Amino acid sequence: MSKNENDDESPMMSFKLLNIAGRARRGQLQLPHSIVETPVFMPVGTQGTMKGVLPEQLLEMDCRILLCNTYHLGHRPGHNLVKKAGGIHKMMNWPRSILTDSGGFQMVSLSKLMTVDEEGVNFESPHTGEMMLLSPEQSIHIQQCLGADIMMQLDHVIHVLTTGPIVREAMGRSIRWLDRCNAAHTRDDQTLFPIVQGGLDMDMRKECVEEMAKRAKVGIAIGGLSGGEEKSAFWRVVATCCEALPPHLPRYVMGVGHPIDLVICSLLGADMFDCVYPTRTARFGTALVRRGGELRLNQNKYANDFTPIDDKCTCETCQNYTRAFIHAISQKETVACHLISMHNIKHQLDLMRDVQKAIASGDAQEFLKTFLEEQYLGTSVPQWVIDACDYMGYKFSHF
Amino acid sequence: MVKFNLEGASAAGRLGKISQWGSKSIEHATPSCMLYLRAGHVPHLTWQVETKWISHLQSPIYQLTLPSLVESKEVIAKFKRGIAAFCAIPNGPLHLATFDPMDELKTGYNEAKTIAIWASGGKVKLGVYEQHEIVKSFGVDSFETLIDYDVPRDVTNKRMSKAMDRTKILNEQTFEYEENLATPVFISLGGGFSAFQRRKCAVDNGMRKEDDEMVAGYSLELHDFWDGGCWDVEELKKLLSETFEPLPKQRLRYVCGPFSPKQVWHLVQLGVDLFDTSYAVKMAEKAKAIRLNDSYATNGDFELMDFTLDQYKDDFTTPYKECQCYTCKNYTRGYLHHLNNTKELLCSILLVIHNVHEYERSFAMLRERISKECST
Ligand SMILES: [Zn+2]
Ligand SMILES: [Zn+2]
Repeated sequence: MSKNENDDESPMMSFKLLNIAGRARRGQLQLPHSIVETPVFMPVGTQGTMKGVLPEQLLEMDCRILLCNTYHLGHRPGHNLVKKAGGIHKMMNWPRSILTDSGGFQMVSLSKLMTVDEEGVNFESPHTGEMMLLSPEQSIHIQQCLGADIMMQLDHVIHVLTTGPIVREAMGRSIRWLDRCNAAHTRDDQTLFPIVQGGLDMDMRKECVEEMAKRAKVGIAIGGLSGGEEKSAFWRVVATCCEALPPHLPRYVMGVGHPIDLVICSLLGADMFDCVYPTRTARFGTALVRRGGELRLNQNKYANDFTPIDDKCTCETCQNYTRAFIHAISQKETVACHLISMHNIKHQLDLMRDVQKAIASGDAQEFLKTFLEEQYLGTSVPQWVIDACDYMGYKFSHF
Repeated sequence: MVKFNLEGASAAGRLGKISQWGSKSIEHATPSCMLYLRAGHVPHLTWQVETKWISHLQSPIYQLTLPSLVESKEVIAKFKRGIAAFCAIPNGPLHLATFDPMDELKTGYNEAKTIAIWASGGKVKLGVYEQHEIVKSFGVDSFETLIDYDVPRDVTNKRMSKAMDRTKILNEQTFEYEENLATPVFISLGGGFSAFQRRKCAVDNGMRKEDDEMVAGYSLELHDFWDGGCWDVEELKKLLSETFEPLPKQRLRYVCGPFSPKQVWHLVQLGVDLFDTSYAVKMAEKAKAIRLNDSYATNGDFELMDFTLDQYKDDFTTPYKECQCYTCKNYTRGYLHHLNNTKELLCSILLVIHNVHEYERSFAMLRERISKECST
């Protein structure tokens, strides 16, 4: 096992459960750069910047943790240069926590030629065209150069709908790779999260949870989801993993970020989430709102709409700008994108703060009811949401 | 009215103070620059970022540029609360410039009663009446008379005199409308590359009584000389002296356009008082940072740091250690190179913040020099 096993109890990193409501948990994750209140949404700053938002603006929203992508930063500017810059926090002027992924997932989605063997992931660099190997050791080496508070293990990513013996093989390999990651991990101001695999097979998920949880120190991730699986399968996997996992580990569901997913997964017992959705959708002129879900500000019906995106929102955008103005400059000025990004990130952070409040006060049912009514304004709530609510014992007569 | 007090002049330029701009009282020393806005914003900056992270040496005079707003004129009229509220612009004087100094003006589109400007959807014909309606519903504090700017170096005599006639008519019409509007207007002065026509244009249009409160000052049309166009100091000297010579000296002289600090240095010597910050934005959009030399006031020298160059890739020092701007205090050359290399929006944001700061500083240096020369 890892040589820094004894640092596990380091006060620099710990997770404290504050409240439990049903399956949902409110907690505090202490990391070297900040205390993160959970459940938490982590905005994604792929290239070491948050799409036109200044770090100070994120601080003003009380954002505590960001995600940056190892694959991208490893190529540009390169992990050695980030290290030379004094690490990712210093380079991007972000004083609070950061999580980096392993780089493996992006390799699978962005590289045409990709093969996996016991040694690691072989891929073709999109920049130089040469074949490269990302081994568990190399992934940790890169992530240690970047210096984020939380690193992710390299796992053997397979498509979520894959079935057959390959699922078990990938799971076994991911466990072996976790041990190699642990062995390569030397910095004590960074923690390493294992990733639970197992596809959509609940028994395999439970088996994987058992192996990974044994090796987890501060927290753990539930991987292999958000890849186009049925929602009915998605929530069941989250539920199964959360049930099987020991309570002391915060559970990070990777790549989840639509408001409904955040709410349902939080209530199922998940604690951490990340997604490019709020900033990516902003680029196309879409604002997130509680009432009705999305506002496509490019649509002509907003041309003369002199109300803010969301009249209850306290973000800089909603305090100062109308839908009509954003409509007028959308797709023409980068400011439109900044304004919507600001609002969308705040929307996600506020939503999670409301979830935390609901857990703390024990009225998750009431919160859920209001949330669903607003989100699905006049349209029916999807069956998978009803099933998940049912499973958790929340009852709504009128759905 | 625009209250401008000419306080002194030397070979280095004119020194003045603006104390009133339309309905707004300000304290603004010249030579200086207006803050260039596109779509009612310093490009790439939300107003929250602008007000928090740029510290202006003087409270800004905002230069709205019409091409990015003209397509929204109906919406703004319906909105009823004016352009400042629509675009969330902080309190301050608002000038409406007819052209966008970041765009090129094309040749061959002006007509007898309208001039052409280019919005995102294409050409827009602008006549005096349309302009009048826009000025009213936007609620700006000043604007410019329309001008037939289309007189390139190789213009025929016939086309030139047509342009001069049109400009004169546009000027007269504007002042007719102005009687019921009372928004101060800058008289646009053109004449292309002809010293004779420059003088004629000034005499034809600029001789309104010195106490005419409708006249905000003069707006010098120099788009053929914008950064990237032609630049001949001797030629400019001739053109500008022919323009200004017949006119009252007490009026504010403004020129719209992206001019480098060196070009500004020349134009200030030739008697121009007010510019805009479009050059700072133009360079930021090319991933370049402006830096004035310490000797700037005496020789106009400055440098550009080009973040597209690989030499900055592994340079994790501050862009300029003496610079007090937000960007230089918090980020490195290597990071700016990375942001440009990955086409990240933050690159333009950070460089606009630095460049606007540095561009405004050039005027402070020029004011200091002129003021020293005036007192000795
Ligand atoms: Zn908002
Ligand atoms: Zn600076």
